[in-house]
Amino acid sequence: MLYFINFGMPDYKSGIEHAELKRLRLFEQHDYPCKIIIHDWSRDLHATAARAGVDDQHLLSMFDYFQKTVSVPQQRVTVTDIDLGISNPQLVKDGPNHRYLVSRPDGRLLARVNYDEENNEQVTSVELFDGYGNLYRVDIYDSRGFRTLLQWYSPDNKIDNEEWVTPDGQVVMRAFHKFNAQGKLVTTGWWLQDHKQLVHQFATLDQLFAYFLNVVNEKGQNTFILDRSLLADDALIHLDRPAYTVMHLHNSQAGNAQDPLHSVLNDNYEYALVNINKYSAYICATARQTKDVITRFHPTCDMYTIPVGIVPESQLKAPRVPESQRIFGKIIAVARIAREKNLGALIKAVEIAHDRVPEVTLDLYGYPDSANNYGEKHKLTKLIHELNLTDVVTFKGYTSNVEAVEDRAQIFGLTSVMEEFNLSIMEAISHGVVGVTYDVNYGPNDIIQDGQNGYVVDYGDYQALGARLITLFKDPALMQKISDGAYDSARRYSPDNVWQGWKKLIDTAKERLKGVE
Amino acid sequence: MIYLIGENVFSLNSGTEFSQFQRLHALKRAGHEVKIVTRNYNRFLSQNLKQHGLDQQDSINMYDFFQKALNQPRKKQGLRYLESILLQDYHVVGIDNNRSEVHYQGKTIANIHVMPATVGLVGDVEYLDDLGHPAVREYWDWRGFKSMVESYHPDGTIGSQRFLDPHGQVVLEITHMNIDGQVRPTMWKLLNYGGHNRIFDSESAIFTFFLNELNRQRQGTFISDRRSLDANVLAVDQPVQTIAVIHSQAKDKQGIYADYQLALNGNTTTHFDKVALPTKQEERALRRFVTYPNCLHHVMDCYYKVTTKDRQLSAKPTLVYRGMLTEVKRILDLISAFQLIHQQLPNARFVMQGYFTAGYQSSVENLIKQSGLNDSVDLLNYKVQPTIYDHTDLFINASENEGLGMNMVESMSHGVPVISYDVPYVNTLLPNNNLVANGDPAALAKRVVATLSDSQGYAALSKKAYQIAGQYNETDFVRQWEELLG
Repeated sequence: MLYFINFGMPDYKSGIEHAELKRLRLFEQHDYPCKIIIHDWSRDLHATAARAGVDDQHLLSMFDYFQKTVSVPQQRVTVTDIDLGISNPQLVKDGPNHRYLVSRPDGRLLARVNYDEENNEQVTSVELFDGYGNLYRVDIYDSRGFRTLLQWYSPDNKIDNEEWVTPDGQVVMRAFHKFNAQGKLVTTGWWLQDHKQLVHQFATLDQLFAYFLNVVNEKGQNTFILDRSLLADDALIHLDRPAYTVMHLHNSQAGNAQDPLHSVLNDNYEYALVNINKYSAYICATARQTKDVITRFHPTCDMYTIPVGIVPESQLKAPRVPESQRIFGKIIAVARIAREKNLGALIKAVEIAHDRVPEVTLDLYGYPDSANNYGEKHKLTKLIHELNLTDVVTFKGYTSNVEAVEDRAQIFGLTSVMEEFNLSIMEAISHGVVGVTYDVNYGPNDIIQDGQNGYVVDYGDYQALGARLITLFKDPALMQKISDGAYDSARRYSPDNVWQGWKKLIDTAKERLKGVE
Repeated sequence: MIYLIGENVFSLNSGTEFSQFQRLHALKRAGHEVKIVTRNYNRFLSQNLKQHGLDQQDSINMYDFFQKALNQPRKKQGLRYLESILLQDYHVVGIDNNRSEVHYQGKTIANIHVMPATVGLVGDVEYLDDLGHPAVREYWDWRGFKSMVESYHPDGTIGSQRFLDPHGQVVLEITHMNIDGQVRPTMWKLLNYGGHNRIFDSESAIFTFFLNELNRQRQGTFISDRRSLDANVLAVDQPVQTIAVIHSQAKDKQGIYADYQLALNGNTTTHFDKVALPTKQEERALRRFVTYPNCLHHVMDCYYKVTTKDRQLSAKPTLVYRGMLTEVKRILDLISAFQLIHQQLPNARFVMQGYFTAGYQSSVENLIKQSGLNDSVDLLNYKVQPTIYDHTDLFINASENEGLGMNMVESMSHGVPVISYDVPYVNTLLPNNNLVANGDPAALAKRVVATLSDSQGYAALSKKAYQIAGQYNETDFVRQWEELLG
């Protein structure tokens, strides 16, 4: 079996989750069995995963496994289904807070039953009060409709112990919270009763997860793809039984992506890189990154370059949109409004272009990063005002229909500090949008082939980027030629091509695990 | 069905429980269906029952009832054979006869305490967190099943207690939270009892519910032996009848003690159908103080089989006191009296057998030491069997009062006479020449010395003792109880 390891599958996904989902689709299309292993507990894992198109067959949550809830039919649970221990509770709906207040006949509060307003008042949690008005426990309900986690409260109203239960109420996992030597309330241990009734004790959740990976790897030939290094970089190189263990880089391995051979290592990957040969293999999303890793670390493990983006066959075959049908001067960027996306540089390049080509406009698609109280968005807004570009540059927010935008735009601009692949620029070229990008590691300078499907300018040289924009807008024939090149180049990310990369890994893994039963 | 309601079958029991046990045996032998019904959680209950000649069939404990363990047979669960211990990864290291530790890579991660009075059977497993705090503790019942799981608040106080049935299913939860700034049990929650959860604000509330469940399953006579349980018994809906059994003095000059009001006068809605008193004198004394004098009855509170061996004074006279060692028994007076006795009869020994209530032991031991009596006074542990009388001459008593003084009846049933302060209602049990002025150790000492110096007189006293004890026989006991039960 092939496993991808991640923390969860939330509604708000980063590029890593998107990459994982695309990979999952590809494996499904080739009928190759695989599962996403989930490290964190989440009450609505199965709901969010289902929305992302991941069914129970492809999901293996550690908590589910020990709670025996890997696959549980959806059940409807509303306030009247909760047995609070008295026969005639008084219910008062507190709509604004999405809950019911449940009282004893003498008026003492018995419970607050919280529900999901968007889901027919399905119960999400129950806050329980004793007869003296103490909140003593919060029972959290899985989105599938069973009690999953009991959080016991201390007399001073902090969570003191957490217990995960099976649907029939057996406690199978516990986390303890106690004061440490500094007097701070911290998680001080984990307790697990496994399927054989054996009790295990762990200092940390990571240790527990390491044990779980060994349980998963108890038999058969298994491949583990680690998509979030810190979840299991240690565990994977200390498995009890052989497995094909693969570290998947989803970001630059170097702290300064422009100086990959010398700069301090990205701390997410430092441990994994120092121990590089203890893994069976590494995956990078671009050839350039693979080359840099080899140059710096001289690994003897297997090295793969497998793009994390896949352009679906339907898009490769879709009718092409000629430049004449696009909005003249329309530049787009699809990126979070975040510091590392460095959109200020793109705005400055657009200013240069706009001076010569007044039709130029820039639309920014992406939700603003909340760091520093949305500091980046404030900074960019200020810049746009200073450059007098308020009619030119527009914040469009997050869009789930980026394809429509791409079919109308001419140029995709990118000036990030660092990238790992950048799915957006790959999607853009597959829609014939010309990419103009800084020479930034890794992804943009791989996806964009200078003069064929776009242009790559030196990192930090926004004047050069502005000049390229002018050249393209002033030369419609060139624009059309490069756009055609963009459509053509998308074939590099066809499902077949990407699958070939995975196929090689699968075959190698089989070879390496020969003799493992 | 007759339910004898008590708090517990303790490992150390007072006269109240002994009286209950005797009643159970006698009524059972007379063909009645009788059960001892107890409230407290006691994972040693089946062992304690056995110590007192009872078995599981005689007992319905509330926790056992809800834990579905009333008829659970004993299985010896060796701690090294626990199915939960991961011997592949962990070392179990024996520390001493009472404890083993579970080690992982040299670190102690759990303690396993040995079941008291066993060799290597599991008593409890205490799991530690990574900082060494007790984090969760699993208690085992004497019968070899995991019975209760306890977890702790960050400050180490108990956070929750979960009670399990023998299959490991949680059936009852007790939550411990603040009441007026103190962490105490605040909620009892029955899980899936008859298909529903039920919550209770106190142990008393769940006990009342439990008694009603018993009565619903099998209607019966409820006999309350403990004043702490009178309210629960009175709250039973439609029992056959309710009886309060009084084991001690229930009033003084000021009137009925507050604790006895419910037993004797009931509450605004109900009262005991019958109140059993151990002596006629107490029954009479109470009559004009109670609302329902016709409910008062005198019924024997104990019985003993009389041995008939003639007793001779021994050369080295031994005095005995057997019973609770507590302030109201005025053990210090006994020691003061014995000091005077010992001055005149240096051969004499004094043996006390029983258990101390908290804090009293040190004052008793100090006085023994101060009086220079260490070599002449023995403190023997609590023992159910009355073997001590084989080697004693006199029983001495200085208690403030007694309902009757069953320990003295027991002594007399072995022919060992009693010299006591003249206090109610011992003074109804003993003839005058066995009584001395209340609160006067010198008088007690004088009478003892006189008795021990007159072997003929002693023989007569012993004979008289047999005679008195003979009135407290099982046949009469059963007859009186059957009359009371109606």
